[in-house]
Amino acid sequence: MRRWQGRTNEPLMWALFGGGGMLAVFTMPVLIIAFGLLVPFGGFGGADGTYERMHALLTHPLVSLLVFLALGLVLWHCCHRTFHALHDLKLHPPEIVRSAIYGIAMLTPAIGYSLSLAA
Amino acid sequence: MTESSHGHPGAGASAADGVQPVGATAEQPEPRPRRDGAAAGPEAGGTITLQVLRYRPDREDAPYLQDFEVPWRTETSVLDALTWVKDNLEPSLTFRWSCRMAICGSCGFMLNGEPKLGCESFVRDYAPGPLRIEPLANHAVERDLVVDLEPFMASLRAVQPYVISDDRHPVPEPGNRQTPEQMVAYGQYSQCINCMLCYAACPQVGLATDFLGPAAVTLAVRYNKDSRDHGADSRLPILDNEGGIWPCTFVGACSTVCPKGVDPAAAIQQAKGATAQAWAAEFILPHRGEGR
Repeated sequence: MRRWQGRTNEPLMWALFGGGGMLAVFTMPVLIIAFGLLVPFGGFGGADGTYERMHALLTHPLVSLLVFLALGLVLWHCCHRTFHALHDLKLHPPEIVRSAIYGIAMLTPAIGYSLSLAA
Repeated sequence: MTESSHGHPGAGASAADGVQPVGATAEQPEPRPRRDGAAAGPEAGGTITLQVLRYRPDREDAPYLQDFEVPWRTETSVLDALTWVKDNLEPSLTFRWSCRMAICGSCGFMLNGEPKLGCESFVRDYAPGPLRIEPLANHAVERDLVVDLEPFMASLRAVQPYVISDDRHPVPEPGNRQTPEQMVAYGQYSQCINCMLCYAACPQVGLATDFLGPAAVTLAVRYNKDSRDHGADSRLPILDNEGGIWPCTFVGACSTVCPKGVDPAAAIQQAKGATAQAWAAEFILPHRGEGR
């Protein structure tokens, strides 16, 4: 890795941000249609047992990993945007705030995945 | 050198150096047939109040707005109106201009708070007024409507805006040729006239003073995408820098105000993507580019 004065880790931060944004715009409409319309209105053939079926699917370690990776990526997008919005608002918070904001994006999926494995 | 180096042929010459008399244009508001056919009617002419920001550091401590009543008709541009003021009312009014046809990039002003070229903005679109004319936002004002170009020029110089050849693979005879497809890759970005409207529109230019800015990043991308150029590696440290491309948050105001349809916001997004790719490549191949 080459070094130069002022080199940032922004390429990584921004790539994750971009990935999260892409994922969000592609999955959000699907999620809304699936869980906002089709499931409650019986699009998948009756809502009975939906919870049990989703629970069984989501507690599978591999499915759970993918879901929480996706959550982490979208949360990263949200947190990256939030941090830059602080700059737009001419706020320059100390480094701990930056760590806390990005920490939310990293810890939330990690904790969630642990809980789903324990479930 | 490049398009960047002669983007401002009239930039150094203030209006005081040589003013074309165009006052006659505005002094005879007799109706003439409109070429665009739009809104032709009795109000295609009249007078308008220009509220021009004045600042003469040798005389005043602070800038202020000065009102001028200016006659106009259908084809009177804002630049014409300012020139009429200079010729007829206030000879000390200072502003930059040169070509009067939206190619030199000298006459950028804030018109009612929006960055515009004075030569291609028409008074008729601001009637009945008043029309507020101020120097480009986010720039230090030197005098009246003239702003300090030096930070912008430094950004342009920083991105090495010229074709950098590959010494190890000299161009074979008969020369550095390019297919039309290869030209399309950067063609749009080469249309920049360095008018700095994008700098006046960009909120991040105002917030992060070391930001390279839309036009300079666009110029870097323009050369990085040129098939004849081999300078992407040496431009990377300029772009991937705290003051390089990263202050941009993709607001997109630069592309909205660009008078040449250059789309700097897209160029910056492409620079971000390319920089992330370069970062990943160096992460996987840690010694990549070290020998240069």
